[in-house]
Amino acid sequence: MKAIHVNSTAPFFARNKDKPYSIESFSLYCTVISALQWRKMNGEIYMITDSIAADYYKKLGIESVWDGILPLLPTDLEGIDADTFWAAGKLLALRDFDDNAALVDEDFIVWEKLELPENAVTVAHREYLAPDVYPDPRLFGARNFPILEQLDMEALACNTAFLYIPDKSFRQFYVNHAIAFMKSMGSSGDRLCPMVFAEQRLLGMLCAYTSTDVNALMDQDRLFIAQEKYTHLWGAKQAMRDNDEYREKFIERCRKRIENDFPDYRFVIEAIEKNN
Amino acid sequence: MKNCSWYLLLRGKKIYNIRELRESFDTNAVTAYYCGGGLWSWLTELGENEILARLEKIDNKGDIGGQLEFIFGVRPEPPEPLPENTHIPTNSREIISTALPSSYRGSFKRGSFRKSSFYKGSFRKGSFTKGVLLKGSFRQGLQGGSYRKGSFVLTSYKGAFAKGSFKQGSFNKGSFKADSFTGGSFMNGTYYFCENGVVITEKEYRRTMINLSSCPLNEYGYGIHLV
Repeated sequence: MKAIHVNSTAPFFARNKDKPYSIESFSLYCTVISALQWRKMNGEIYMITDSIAADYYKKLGIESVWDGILPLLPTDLEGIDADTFWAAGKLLALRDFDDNAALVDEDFIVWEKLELPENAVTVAHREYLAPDVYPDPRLFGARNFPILEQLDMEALACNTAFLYIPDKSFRQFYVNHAIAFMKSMGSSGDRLCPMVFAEQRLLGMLCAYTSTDVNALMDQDRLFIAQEKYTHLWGAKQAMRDNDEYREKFIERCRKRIENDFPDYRFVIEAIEKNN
Repeated sequence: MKNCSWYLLLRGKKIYNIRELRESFDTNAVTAYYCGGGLWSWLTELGENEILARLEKIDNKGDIGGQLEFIFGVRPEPPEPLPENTHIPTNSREIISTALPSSYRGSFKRGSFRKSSFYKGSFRKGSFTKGVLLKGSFRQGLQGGSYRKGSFVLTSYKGAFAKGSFKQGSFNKGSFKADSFTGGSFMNGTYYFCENGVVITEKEYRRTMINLSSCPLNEYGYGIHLV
């Protein structure tokens, strides 16, 4: 089964206009393990990115962890506000990557071999509609987005840390409406609600609208009960930024994991350390 | 007539070619495919170069839907261009106030965006009360930048673990009961039950505790101990 990682540099430069592009070490380690573990258990994985990040990975010397790096994304995200819609690159990649592939976030690791249904959309898990995260989407005031009135406001959102949409027509239906929404919104100053609506809640709504089945890898009520199939750093990324000890211990575990499970890729550790 | 390998979804119909598009034309949906970019690849696969050339000339600041209707022949005349001094709202607050139904506008103007009464009014009870109740600390977490894609479940579990309700061996104390296990829970033999449908075996309970103590990052994400 084919997969893609997606990384757009536009959100970085929206927040760090004069800084050279960089990725935090703990994120790089997790990305590397996510890619290598996918290849070990499930098949090919490609990095869909823009020209800046493609150069970055190549200069770093870690491009071989993927089966290929494809600079398909425009650095300007087609005019989408990159600060508000920091995950827009994922939607553009889903639209433009021609093959059928699972989208795997770089902070999401699949430890097992997956066998996914071809007649359903597979997501990491559903999400309840907490009003501070998923407010009434009419409040966003997006122009040229009338489909909203036809959608089920009670359809649960879909966490897209993992996303597999085997039906190309539905995939295009979803990403085109999500991109149209993002383009119609402009800048909002809110870096959470509009993004998760476009990426996650709209998906749940459109699945309900088209009677498309949703298959969740995990039950949303049991995410924090111990399991051995999936890792998602999620809020731990911020915890590692805030806590040096957490970060160092995680990085140390990542190094050991690479040395033990992927000894041919030990050079990645040196490459990342040199980057610090 | 050539068919595309994938379809546009218009008015609930699967549209594979230009004839079907014209017969079931839906201005709003075609506009979404135009703005989203998919219309270009659909037409490219069909080899409709003439239409593609006309799409290139669309004035994106004008009536996009009207221009698309004209290009696809479902409208005899192109739409009038918008007057030069037409004000297009770009500020999100302005867009919101003009886009909301009139019943919303009053409350929006009276209150602040976050706290005004329309929030309460606009959400149906069932859409969130079944889930984890919102905590005061959650918004602070978001503002502090610790969020990633709506981690409300995460926050409440974090609180529960931090307060040690698991460690005390009870689901009836602390924030666990107040939030995700609303309505109370109890231990019955080797299973932990709760009213929102979560059933935790004693083995899962112990594994969760071990994983939390060995990897505190599991409070913020999941399965991080597996790395």
